[in-house]
Amino acid sequence: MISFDRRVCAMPTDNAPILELRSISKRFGGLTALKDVSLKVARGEICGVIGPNGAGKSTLFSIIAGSVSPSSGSVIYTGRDVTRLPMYRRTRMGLARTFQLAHTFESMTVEDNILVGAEDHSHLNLVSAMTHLFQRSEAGARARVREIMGLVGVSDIASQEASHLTFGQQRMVATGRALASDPRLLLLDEPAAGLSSRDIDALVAAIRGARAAGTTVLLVEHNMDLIMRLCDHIVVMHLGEKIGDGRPEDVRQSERVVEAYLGA
Amino acid sequence: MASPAGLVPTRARDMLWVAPAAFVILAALPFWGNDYHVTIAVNLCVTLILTLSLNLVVGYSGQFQLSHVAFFGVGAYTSAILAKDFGLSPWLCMLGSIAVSACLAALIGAPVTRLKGLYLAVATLAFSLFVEVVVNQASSLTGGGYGIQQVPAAYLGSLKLSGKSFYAVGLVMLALTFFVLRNILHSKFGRQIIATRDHPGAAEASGINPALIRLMVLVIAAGLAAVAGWVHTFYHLTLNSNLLNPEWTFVWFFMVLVGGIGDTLGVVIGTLLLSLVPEFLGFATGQTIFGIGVLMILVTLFAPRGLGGLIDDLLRQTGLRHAN
Repeated sequence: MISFDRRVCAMPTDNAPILELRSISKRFGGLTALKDVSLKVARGEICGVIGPNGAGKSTLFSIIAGSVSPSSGSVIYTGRDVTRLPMYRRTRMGLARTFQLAHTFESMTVEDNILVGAEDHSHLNLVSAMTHLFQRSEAGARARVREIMGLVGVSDIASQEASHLTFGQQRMVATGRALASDPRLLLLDEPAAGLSSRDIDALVAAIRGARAAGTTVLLVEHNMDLIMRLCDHIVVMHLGEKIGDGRPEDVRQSERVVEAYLGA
Repeated sequence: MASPAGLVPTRARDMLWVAPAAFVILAALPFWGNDYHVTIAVNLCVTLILTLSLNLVVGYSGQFQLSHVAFFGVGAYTSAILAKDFGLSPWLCMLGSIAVSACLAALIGAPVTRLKGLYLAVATLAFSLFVEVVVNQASSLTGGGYGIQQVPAAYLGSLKLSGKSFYAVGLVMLALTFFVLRNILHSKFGRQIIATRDHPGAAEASGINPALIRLMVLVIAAGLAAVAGWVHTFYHLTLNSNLLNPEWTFVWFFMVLVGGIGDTLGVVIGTLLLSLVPEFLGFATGQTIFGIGVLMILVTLFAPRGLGGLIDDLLRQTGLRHAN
């Protein structure tokens, strides 16, 4: 369904984690949002980060994506320290993210939204942009866009402007845009929030499809049902600390986790 | 109207027919007119190049930038100085003007394009005032308040380019501006510009460097403004520091706003309206500014998307254009 050549080559046989956080802390003024959080995400897994409000999930997510930098600690992605790299550099390395709100490019069509995700933005050729000479073919990216639109179910609204869509549709467009970049690690920020159960089924299918294709997925989510359905690995956060880390069935039985949730 | 795939802003496709239409009208203008009409037509070309390039910055890129006049003025001065003091050919002068204005834009843009909204507006306005002061003070090079006179005229072979023949050159420059802007909007760079305007965070998450895109937009617009400055210099063959009055940026801004921000057809209409009406009705400056003020209020109240948006709605209501 998706072309995977790049990812297949990128998947080494050793089991080095694709993402590793080493004692990440984040303070906002006097407030400690994250305290000494370390975790590893293995290649090819679906990892869920859960926790009650204020647990530091979103901060953790932003630090991995690169929109917030940690006060201390480091982010290791595919063996490289990316702690100081801006978000767009991480995206170019195959680390794609979505947002809690859909955040589409509202004046663009659905097709162009996803095309922006599919295109390589590492070089800017202004001469070709101004003259339309020496242009590279867009055919590959366009074909990928059609594939993705089918995968996330927006093919029939391809030429509509994103601002005219429902929230659920915008959500799928944004997810499609992230998938179109052919990510090695896909970060999803509360992907099920505000979705109908039918949309959630489509989302689960898209996430499973991406994983089957070799993408590692990390999602931050409130929806416990979705996490239990999807994840191989769960990280539980509480008041800025990691209080649980393991397979879903183990985490569910952990006393600290049960206590935190009942206390909350 | 069938929607061609991959076209970024919906209204940008209007360029496809606006460009040749505007071009034919402008080309025909001076043939039943006198020298005065030719001057108006050349000035109109200059203003259109300026408003179209300003629209790339404020409309398509969403940057509230008030230093356009500085890039225009510096372009005009560079050409005048290179031609008069260094004896360069006008065509080399054009390259020099583009280079100097674009470099200036890169220099000021690097820190300033990180600012947003009113902060960007104030910083660029301050820069514009600064350039005006510098040009006025550097009188050994720029002639100060007195300006530069008797710039050598441009020649094409043995043909002296003046009057109607220079107007043809101005039209070619306007056409090139259309061509460049249209190409940009239909390219990957165009999508990067719109994506950065619509949502800088999501653009960055897609691998786009928003600061670089904003900066490149500013540099290209400055280069186009320098071309307008070149046309001005080699038509009038004289210039002074009135050219650098920050007021001009506001006049072009009004033209863009009245026409409809980010809307090429609208910007052409806004520019024609606000350039020609005061000219032919013989308004003095005070009355013109008053008239622009009244027009701005009316547009804000009754056509918030500008005259271009108003036309769009009318076409839709009469069924000539299908709702998207």
